[in-house]
Amino acid sequence: MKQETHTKPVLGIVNGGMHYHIDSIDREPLKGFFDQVIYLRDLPQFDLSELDILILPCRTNPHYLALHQSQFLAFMRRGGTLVAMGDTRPDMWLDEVSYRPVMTNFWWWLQEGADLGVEMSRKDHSINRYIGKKEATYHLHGVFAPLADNQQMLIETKEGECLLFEDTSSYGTGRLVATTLDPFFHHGGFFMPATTQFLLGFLPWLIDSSQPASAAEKQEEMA
Amino acid sequence: MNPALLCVESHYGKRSKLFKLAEQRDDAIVVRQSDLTREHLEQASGLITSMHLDQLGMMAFSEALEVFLTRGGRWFYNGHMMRPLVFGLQPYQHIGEEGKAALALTQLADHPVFVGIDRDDLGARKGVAGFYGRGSNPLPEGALAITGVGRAQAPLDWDWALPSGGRLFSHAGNDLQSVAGAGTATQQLSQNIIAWTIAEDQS
Repeated sequence: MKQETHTKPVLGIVNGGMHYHIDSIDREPLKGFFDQVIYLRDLPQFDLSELDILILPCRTNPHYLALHQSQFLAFMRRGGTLVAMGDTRPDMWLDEVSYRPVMTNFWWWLQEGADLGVEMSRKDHSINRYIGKKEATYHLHGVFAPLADNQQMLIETKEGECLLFEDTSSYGTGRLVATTLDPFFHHGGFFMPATTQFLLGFLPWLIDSSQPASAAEKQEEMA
Repeated sequence: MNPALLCVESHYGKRSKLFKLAEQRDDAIVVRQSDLTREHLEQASGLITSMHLDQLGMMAFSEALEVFLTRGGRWFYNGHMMRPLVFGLQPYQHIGEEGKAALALTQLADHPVFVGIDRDDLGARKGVAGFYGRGSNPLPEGALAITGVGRAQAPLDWDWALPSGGRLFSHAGNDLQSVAGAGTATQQLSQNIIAWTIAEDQS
């Protein structure tokens, strides 16, 4: 049902204090996307119900994130979108997620005409209007394998293993988006231009594909 | 005896070769950043931090860092300084250019950290430039620029003898010892970094 008024979802991001987090969050071109920034060690005191989307940027220490498992689960069950980026290892703090590291080939592109083989998995999915193979192609660190039934693969390796999935069924009305790609790390390190382009598509997709909690509640009331 | 060398480990994952080398020493300690206390800094004379340093968390130790430096401590800093942790520092600046020529390194001064290292080998890996660094933590007044990057030779590496005491070596890139590849240069760089960090200034 079409909403009469559409309020922008509130997007929050955790800041682990590493330079690549601070640079991504504080500086253009991404700065304007983030409505709330939560320092990692302030998470216990932060009320996640203020947010519609929470991003855990690349390489946020999973040992710290594991301490907040129940907070994250409650956030998703209330309708929030939790986004676990590369090397946050959601397999270490969510039962349903499995991960396997892969050897990283940093040099594949030096061969003329080479193709890393990353593919968008579902051509009919909304994410394809925001990012594609080009933005998702730089290098790999791991795959989510095996995938659980509810984890819908959206980006994959040439072997058909998962680099990014969305789960809209396992956490109440909420959603988990998880990727093994680490664009915040490389964007914040000024290293790989594709990663900046990935984020400039990925962040708008997250926003456009999320509903503000107030809208979700209204929809539930009307159902 | 109190450990002279304090290595602060901030990332999740495998311990770096540099910190593995350090922990073999009787006079060194590797501490996870979440376990860091003021007492660690009070007991150390040398400090090494990595590019993964939680700079927001480290701000809580700003005063202890100033005291550490004032009594002659040496700090080997890796990474982009986004939160100036010591008075006189400015946030990291990217050079704003890409490409091999734009990212070329210039040796601006000799330094003990590079003894036995062919610095010409550090500028590129497999012909690709940029691994060493792509910008600078702006040079504090009175600091010595060691390595420049780009056409403007932005001070990517510098060594600063603070007016109030102590020394700070800044490498504004990935952890310095990691840029030398897998060969003996990594070991040599690691040894040099440790040796410089625990050395004392001659009065």
